[in-house]
Amino acid sequence: MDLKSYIARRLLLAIPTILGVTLIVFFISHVVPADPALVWAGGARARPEQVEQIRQLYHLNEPIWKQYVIFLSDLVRGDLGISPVTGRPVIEDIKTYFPATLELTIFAIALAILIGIPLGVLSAIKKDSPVDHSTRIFALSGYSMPIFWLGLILQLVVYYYLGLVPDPGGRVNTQVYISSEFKTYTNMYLIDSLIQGRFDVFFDALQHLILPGFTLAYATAAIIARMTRSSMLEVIRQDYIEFARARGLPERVVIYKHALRNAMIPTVTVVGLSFGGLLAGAVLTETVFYWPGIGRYMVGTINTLDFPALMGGTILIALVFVIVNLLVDILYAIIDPRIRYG
Amino acid sequence: MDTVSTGDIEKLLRVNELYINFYTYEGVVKAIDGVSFDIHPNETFALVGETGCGKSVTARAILRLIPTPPGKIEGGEILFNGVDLLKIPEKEMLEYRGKKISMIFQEPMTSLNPVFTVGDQLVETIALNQKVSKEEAYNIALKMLERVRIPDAENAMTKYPHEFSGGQRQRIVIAMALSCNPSLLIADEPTTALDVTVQAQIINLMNELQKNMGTSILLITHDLGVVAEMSDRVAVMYAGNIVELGTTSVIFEKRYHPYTQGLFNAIPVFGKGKQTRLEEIPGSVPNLLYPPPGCRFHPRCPHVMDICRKEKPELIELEPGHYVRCHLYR
Ligand SMILES: Nc1ncnc2c1ncn2[C@@H]1O[C@H](COP(=O)(O)OP(=O)(O)O)[C@@H](O)[C@H]1O
Ligand SMILES: [Mg+2]
Repeated sequence: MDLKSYIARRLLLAIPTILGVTLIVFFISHVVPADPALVWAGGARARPEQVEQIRQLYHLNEPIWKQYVIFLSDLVRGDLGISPVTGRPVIEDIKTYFPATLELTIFAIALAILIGIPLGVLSAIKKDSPVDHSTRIFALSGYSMPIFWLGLILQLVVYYYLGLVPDPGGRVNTQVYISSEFKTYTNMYLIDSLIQGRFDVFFDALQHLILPGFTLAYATAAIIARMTRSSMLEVIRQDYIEFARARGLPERVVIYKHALRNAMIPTVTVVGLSFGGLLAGAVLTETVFYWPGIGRYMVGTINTLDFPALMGGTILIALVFVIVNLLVDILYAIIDPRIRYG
Repeated sequence: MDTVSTGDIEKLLRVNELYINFYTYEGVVKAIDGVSFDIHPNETFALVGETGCGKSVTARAILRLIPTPPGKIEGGEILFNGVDLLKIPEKEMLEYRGKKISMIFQEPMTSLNPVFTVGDQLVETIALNQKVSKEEAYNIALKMLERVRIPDAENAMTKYPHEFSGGQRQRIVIAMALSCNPSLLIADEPTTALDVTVQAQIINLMNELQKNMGTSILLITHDLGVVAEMSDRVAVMYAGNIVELGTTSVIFEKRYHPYTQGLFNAIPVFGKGKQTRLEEIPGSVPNLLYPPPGCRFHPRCPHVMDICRKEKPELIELEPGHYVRCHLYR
């Protein structure tokens, strides 16, 4: 099977998965014993006819299964509805908030890989040395440190005591952002600023990304480091590594080409599996750093019973999971030629 | 004198009084206990002995591939064209590995890296060792694959190791090992993991390449049939010692050392009735954590004498170029 039809097939198979997720989230959210129309209309102060109007508009008087059918028929037309809270189409809200999360998580994954893999390799080839022991401590604290606590401590130390980064909170210095004609294409500021050659915005955005990015990356970096270490230790005992040395390859090539590529196979799985944790961590990170991303947005939708936004966000996150899993499987087949798409 | 000297014949490799220990949690494994031998240009020299007697450790020591720790070379010399490989820095060792001395291992199934194509691994070896461009390396690689008779070499270059059979993989490994025209090929049980018919093909191939390329071979095996087919001279190893060394014909004919006799009796003899019984050497290979004092073979030796338990025998030259380490011949 070629790559294109494999991807097509996997995406088709994802449709029932995503529908299943919407079904579960829809029913669980709609059975809460609160009146959403009342909340949306402004609470106890709202006039009854206003509340009734909203109820009509959002079909809240219909039986729940019928509401779900209405939701689905809108969905297949690509309509995620209008948020009763922000008054904007949900799709517009997603376009605003999701790129912020995407930028944060991609940055965090890149950081985790950049930290985790070299640490893992180093502690494997220098097993039981001080480097190895320090890496173990680094990794153990990465596993066990709560994200919100790490985020707060980093703010306290790096921003408050050391003053190394600008005011934590938000994605760029608003002054920089407003006072200049900065255009947003992707809404990921690192990319947008590079497109426009605006290095001032780029470095400002980068400075804002560092702390939340590291906070989110730490646990994943720890997992990658430990996994890389143990798979490296396994791989460097293999015959082909000894044969590579016997062939006269320098140690650098033996380790970073021949051993690392093989050691990446289990590591890729672990990174793929830990992606769920990364998204959950994104919610906490966004909260601690006032990061205007989809995580904070979704927490808001739960508090205000904003059903259309909640469903839109749910579909988005389910889709992200499907795509990440697909990417991991493709990456797998690229790294290990013995695996074929099937 | 406890060294083997082959007079004034030119020597390619000279291993002299090699001692290697492994420092493990249980204690010190005295794996190699004063091993000496020479290899001449253009010859096939076989190292035979039961599993665990130190053949692979000796071979790895020549390329300095002993994992350290736990291994440690305690003493001795490994002279290659007069240069002591144990004294040069690791960086200079790269000038020998894969270039002047190559090595192939027992398991063809696992000797090649599964995630790179055969072509990639061949070209990489050639380009790095011979300092030639990728294109030149590619052409040399193609020629080598044809030489070891891999069908459709061009296509084979783009394939991954798992797409070949065991015998083909061992051919590819041989191609890789010989690609830089080494003067010495160390073959550590190159046919043990293969089917009998494939074994014969590989042996023929190695014999042929050896003749054409003039490479000396250090052949490690526990298969006396392979020894008879390939080698000019043989050293018999037991528990980290060489107990007998000489030309293949004399060893096969005379078998001076009681261990050599035992080893030869352990080959199944075909054609002598339906039930040919394997005459095993009684006892088992000693634990090298606690090697027996005196002659390491004495607990299993049918001719054991008092002195064997106390004193390690010297190598004695019984015939010109034929050495035995046994008190029976004092
Ligand atoms: N890495 C190691 N650690 C401890 N002992 C080892 C190691 N490698 C080899 N040895 C010991 O050295 C001895 C010789 O092993 P080896 O050379 O592999 O035997 P063989 O003749 O079967 O190739 C064995 O007793 C083995 O236990
Ligand atoms: Mg061996």
